[in-house]
Amino acid sequence: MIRIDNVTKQYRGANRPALDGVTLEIEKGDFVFLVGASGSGKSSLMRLILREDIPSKGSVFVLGENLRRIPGRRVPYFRRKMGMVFQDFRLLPNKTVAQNVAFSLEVIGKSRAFIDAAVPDVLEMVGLGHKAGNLPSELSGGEQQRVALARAIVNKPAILLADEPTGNLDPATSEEIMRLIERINAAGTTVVMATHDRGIVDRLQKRVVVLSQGKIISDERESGYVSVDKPVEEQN
Amino acid sequence: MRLGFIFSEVGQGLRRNVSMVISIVLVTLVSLTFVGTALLLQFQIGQMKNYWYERAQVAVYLCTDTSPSAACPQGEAGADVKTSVEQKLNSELLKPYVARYYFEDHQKAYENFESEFKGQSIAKYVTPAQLNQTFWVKLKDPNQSAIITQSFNGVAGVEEVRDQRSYLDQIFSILNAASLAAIGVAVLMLLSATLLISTTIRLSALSRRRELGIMRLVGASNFTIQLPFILEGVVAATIGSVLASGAVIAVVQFFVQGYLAQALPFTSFVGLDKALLITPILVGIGVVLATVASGAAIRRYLKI
Repeated sequence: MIRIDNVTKQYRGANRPALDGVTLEIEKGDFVFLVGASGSGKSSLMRLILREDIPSKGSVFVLGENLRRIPGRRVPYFRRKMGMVFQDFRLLPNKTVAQNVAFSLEVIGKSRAFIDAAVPDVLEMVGLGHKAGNLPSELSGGEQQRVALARAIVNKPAILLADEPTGNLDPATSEEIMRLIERINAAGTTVVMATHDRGIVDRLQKRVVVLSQGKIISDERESGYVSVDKPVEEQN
Repeated sequence: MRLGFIFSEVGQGLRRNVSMVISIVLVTLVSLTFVGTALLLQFQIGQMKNYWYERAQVAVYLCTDTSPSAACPQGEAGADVKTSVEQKLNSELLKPYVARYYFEDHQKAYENFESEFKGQSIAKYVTPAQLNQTFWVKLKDPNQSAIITQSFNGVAGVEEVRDQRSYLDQIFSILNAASLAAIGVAVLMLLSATLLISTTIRLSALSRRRELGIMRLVGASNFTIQLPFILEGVVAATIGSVLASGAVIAVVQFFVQGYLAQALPFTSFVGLDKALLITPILVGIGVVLATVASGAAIRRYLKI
């Protein structure tokens, strides 16, 4: 599903690569946490998987596509098979909840009939059916993230990428969001989630990939991973 | 591709940038009106050239008693001069170039003069003897007037040979300069219109960068992302070019036909048919310009 093969990403002007010889394989239906300090390379990795960047060295295969070779005009069609959520939700403030979700379908040319059927369904699934007509500013942070999740999954993506989805939320709300993401995963969607939230990582007992300074320093499959306190100087 | 969606995006963009859209409309209106006027002037010049060159003749003026003595030392040209000029016109050398000619004597010249300057005081002081007897020569090809001029210049009893086109050429070169000036102004205005369109579209994209980001994220095709912005520029420029076409038509209808043609009844002026011919050219220029300018402006937001 996702194969990252000895990938190095060097940004111009940076003195060390953001990713340094990273190799990682993620199977269909996996739930993978990417953890690590800021600047450890989590976001760079997500950007590569979404084909927002191309690696300086090595190759990235996602959904059977070699992302280095995929022509620019086909990138949008590739992205339609991916869902993405962020720490800052990225909703359109002047559109209602339903319009925000519908927008992502409109711009990829889905029919009105399809949108009219799919949007209420997905809002119901994330538990916001009754807030379809509200503006994002009228919602709590957790509700906004649920709208963002609804938007990410409404087109039934094969992979959901989540970049710190609970970063702006309190623990109880984070818990709700995680339950939702687990449900999405249980329905067959591969989930890759970057997070700082140790509580969530420890509790969910999923595969955990730990990045530090652009390298994978541990990759624990299934249970057994418990975050460890490390002195600050050791992390850098 | 859902057209309803695209059009609602275009409408939103236009509403959000009303003042910029109005400025695009005005700049394209003014610039394309200049283009249209320049084209009209070119048509007008062409039409007048056709009309007047067709009628232009070469005049061979014979000497009178009042002619300057440098050209006419013997004074009034006698019948012998008239005969020799006529013979020359009928000679093998000149005959192939001459379509027809006629002779205007003092009396006829006086009558023409009187009717031309009727009611003006100058008509009272001129006598028939002061006006030249003239051979009016119509050439088969008006461009070959030099042959006649060279044959009769300096011949005894001929005061002057004058190709009427030399008067016309002055008028045409003035009109031509005016039309070139209009084109010059039009080019400058079109340049500023292009820059204005691309700036406006860039601003419009900037104010919608959230939407653009999400569109790219969820996999909207470049075409879908670009189209609303390009259409935004095209709609504004089209309004401007349609107004410019209206302005050109109005100028022809009310100024050229309604005023000039009445004031100068013997001149043939461009008509509405020419104005209507210009209309699609103006709209075409507007649309192409807007497409290129806004397409170029939005391109950098499409980098994946």
